[in-house]
Amino acid sequence: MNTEKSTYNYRIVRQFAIMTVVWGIVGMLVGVFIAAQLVWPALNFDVPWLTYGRLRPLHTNAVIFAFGGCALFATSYYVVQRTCHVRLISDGLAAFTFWGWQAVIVLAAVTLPLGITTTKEYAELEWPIDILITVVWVAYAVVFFGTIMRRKIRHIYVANWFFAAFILAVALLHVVNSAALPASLFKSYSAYAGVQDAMVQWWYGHNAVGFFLTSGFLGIMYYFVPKQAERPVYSYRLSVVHFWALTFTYIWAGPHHLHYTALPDWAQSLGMVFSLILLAPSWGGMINGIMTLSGAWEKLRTDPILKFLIVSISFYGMATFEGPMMSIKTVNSLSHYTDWTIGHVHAGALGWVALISIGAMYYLIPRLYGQTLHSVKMAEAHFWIACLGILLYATSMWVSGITQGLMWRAVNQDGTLTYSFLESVQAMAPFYVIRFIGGALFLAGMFLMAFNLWKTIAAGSAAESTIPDPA
Amino acid sequence: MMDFTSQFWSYFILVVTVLSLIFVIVLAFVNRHRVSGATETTGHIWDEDLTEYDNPLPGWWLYLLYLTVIFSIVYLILYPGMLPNGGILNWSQIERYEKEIASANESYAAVMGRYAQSSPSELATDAQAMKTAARLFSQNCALCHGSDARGAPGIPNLRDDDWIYGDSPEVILATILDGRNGIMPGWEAVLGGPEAVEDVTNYVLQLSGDVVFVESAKRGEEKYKTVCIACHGPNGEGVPQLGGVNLTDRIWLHGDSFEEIADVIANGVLNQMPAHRDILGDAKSRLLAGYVISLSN
Repeated sequence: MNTEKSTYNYRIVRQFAIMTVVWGIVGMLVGVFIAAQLVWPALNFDVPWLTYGRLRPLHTNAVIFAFGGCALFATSYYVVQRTCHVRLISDGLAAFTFWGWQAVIVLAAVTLPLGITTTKEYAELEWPIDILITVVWVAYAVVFFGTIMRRKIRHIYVANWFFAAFILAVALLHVVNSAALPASLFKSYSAYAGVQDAMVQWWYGHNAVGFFLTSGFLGIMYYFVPKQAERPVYSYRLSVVHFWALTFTYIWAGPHHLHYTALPDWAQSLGMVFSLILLAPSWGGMINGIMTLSGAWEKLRTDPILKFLIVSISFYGMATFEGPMMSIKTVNSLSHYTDWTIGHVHAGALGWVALISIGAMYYLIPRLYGQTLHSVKMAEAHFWIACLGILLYATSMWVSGITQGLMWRAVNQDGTLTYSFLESVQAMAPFYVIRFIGGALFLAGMFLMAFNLWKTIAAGSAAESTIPDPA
Repeated sequence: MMDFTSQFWSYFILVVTVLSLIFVIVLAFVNRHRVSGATETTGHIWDEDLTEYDNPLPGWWLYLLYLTVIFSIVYLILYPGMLPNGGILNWSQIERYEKEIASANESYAAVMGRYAQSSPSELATDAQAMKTAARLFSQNCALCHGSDARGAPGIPNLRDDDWIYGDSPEVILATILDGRNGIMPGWEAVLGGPEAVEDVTNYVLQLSGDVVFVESAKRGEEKYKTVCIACHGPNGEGVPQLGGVNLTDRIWLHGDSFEEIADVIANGVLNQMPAHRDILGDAKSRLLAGYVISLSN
């Protein structure tokens, strides 16, 4: 028996795990830079490539698809192997997904500042890159599902359901929303027009949140929380119910991005009610994650990894309460187009997606290099810095957003608007400073993590893990 | 692609929606039993020590799910959703918008009615009216003309006494209501090439009192008298009725350098003031005309 078959493929996990940290820092650095531009507009230096409009999509693509994407690749490859007790079916294909995905990221980092964009939010990359994404994604699906099919345990572990839903849904969303007619190598036109285009875009956009940033990261939660807590998952049946309920209801929630627009009323209603129904299925995941810790609460005091994981689940619960509330048309008429949306997104992105990814990396990287974490104290410090950063970010954007919404709708006795748009922009200035500080703190935590993990890796060496027989 | 106006898609979505809701409810319902499983795991073990309890669904969670589904069904029946024509309440966003506009128009009818009866010049001296007008300006006009109304390159300064279309209140009101299309054609070919453009540029600068190459300006003057005179007048004083701007006042809308002026002469420029009749209506346009006049004074 050769070692190829008797060990897990850790190489691919190591590659994606390291790039998770690297792209996390790059993506958040761009985020902090554009947050600074909103306070000090001169920071674009009159260079077109550095303008806010071009760097903002670079930031979103980098944090979602480069940082989040690498975290999902790393964890799903690790989890699917270890819970199926089998090596990935193809090392070559897995390596292709790594280099292919890195190529997509680099192409994005080049084309977006050059102003090459489809203008569809979170789907800005032009058609040649879209095709590369599709090819890489198909390879990913083949590796993942192929490995599931070779599993040594009949029952498929819950984390893998979520990874599976994430991979399938993202394939569907990407292909449908990116359908376009190329006009040249760098320019294409959407296959859809007008309100249909908007509807397809937000069907994609919201489900990118639902399946990329939620299902995928719930997969991370379902493996790393019980592992780190050394406790059984709280409820199998809850995981069944909330998995299917989440999958069936997320797919309809997109129209809440288009309240009070040219979208027909019935489609808006549908988007609103399915967003409301989403509350319980989302909280099902939160309950299962947090309750898994029951009986082991004392571990929270000493274990920064558990802190990251549990606080991320709390932010998940909070953001998935806030989301349905914001989808209610009456609330949406105040919150839409304001910074409240930005605050909501970052409560989810920093609080949920980033914290759980960070927790997973602190768990993974020492194991992948056969070495204990260089400094637990440093990880502890990272946790508190990150929390403070999120707190400053989210609260400043809530206040800023509600202020904006109220200023825009304030009306005088004579029927004129009380404030000009410019006045609402001026009112935002202090909150933009606080947001910048919050983002900078979060980024500082990322540098701390990079240093800590770098020292860990330097002290260790690439570890192998033989595949145990299923219990 | 099929339009949303086709009934087929409504029914298609309706069927899938109802099936999804039924599926979610049935799934929760069949799993509702409060079995005690807290001390027993399901028996599956992955990756050496991963196991699962089979705790019952929390009651409050289950009722939250039921509640949101029931709310949703009721909502989709009352409001646009499951029934044709906006549900039982026959609600539509456009109707709600129109109602709000109508009620706003009603509550502001008295004061706006008075403004609609007044001339811009009268309004310009009415302090209360000008307060309203200043706010209207900052929300509707400042984007282009600047919050101080001093304009920007290509956009007229409203604080000086230079009026492209004339300074009468009626003309200013007409500009706001129906907009203007400022068309300066490109003349390079007609004038006979870049050198001719330079000559005319020199002449035009001379009209404003600038020191220029006299020889060139003299050649330019001849061209001016045949080509430019129709819109800009015999002495460059402009023809407001045509929107031909005054060339003698040192106010250069599109830049005051030799190159910028030469470029306008050679290649022309299109400028547009959008019409505001449908956006603001008569009374508010009058207020703004009055406001602009008050600024200029």
